[in-house]
Amino acid sequence: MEELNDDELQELLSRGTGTGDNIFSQKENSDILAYRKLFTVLAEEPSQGLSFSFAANVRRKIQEQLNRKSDRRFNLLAATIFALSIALAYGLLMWISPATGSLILEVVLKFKWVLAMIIIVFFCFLLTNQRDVKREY
Amino acid sequence: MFNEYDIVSRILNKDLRAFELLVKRYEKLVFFVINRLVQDQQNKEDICQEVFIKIYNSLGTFRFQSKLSTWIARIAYLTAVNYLKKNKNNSTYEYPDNIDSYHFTEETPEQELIKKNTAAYVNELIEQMPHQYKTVLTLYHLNEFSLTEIEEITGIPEGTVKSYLFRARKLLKEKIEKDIKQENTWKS
Repeated sequence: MEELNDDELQELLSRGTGTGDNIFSQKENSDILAYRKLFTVLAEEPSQGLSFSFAANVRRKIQEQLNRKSDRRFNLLAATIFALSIALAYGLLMWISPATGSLILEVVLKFKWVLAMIIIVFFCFLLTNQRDVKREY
Repeated sequence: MFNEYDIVSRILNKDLRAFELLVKRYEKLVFFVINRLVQDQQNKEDICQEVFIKIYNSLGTFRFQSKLSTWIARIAYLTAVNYLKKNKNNSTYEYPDNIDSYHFTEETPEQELIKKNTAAYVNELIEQMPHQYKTVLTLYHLNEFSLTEIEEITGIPEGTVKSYLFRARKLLKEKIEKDIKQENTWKS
């Protein structure tokens, strides 16, 4: 009977056959043994793995990611509501008393950079506060 | 009992405890893939974290057309391959253009030292191999995926996966046999 080549021997072992049979030659038996040892080594897990707190660390990172997303949404909503409120207030004022409305608009335009700075400082403070505060989850 | 549908559904409803369960269940699977392909010890855990963050962000696209483990392994594999492409200048080994003609080169002093420990020696030999061989050996023997699943994970056709697997094992077996013969010759 022709000797089996390496591929055929590997195929036999993968199927779980080739054990305890006396039909193989000495060389085939030696090859089967070598492959069997190799398969055992290949299935051995690495000695070093991930840290014990790996899953908890990943969860914490995801939570931080979600918090950042939530903060961005809140900031956008706050800015939108603020802008709409100002626009609505100005609209109402112009409807009730156009003269007063125009006067206020003139004052706002006169001090536009001061007001812009105040708004920017406020939002910077909000952003810094969000980053510094540790959330409980 | 771990129910894939239940866990995925809970995670998509922002249940982070369910996600932590998923991480605990599949962290070994991801680590085996990354550990084999990435040689930089310090980055392995960071890359595994990156894999799970990608899994969380793209879980909404998982349609249960394959097993969850196969889908996760694919993300791990692609992340590792991207890392290797970005860092190929730091790679210690050069791979041949024709993978079928790959063979082990001359031994290093480090290999001489660890020959006594077969497992460590086999791992050292695998480190030298092209990443395709390393991948199929790991996915088949450590992660226990079938050849069909390995094709889904890597995109390599099943026939080629089988060919790589058989060739890689043959190379390892012949190298170990040659070393044993050499050692016996020196002893006698």
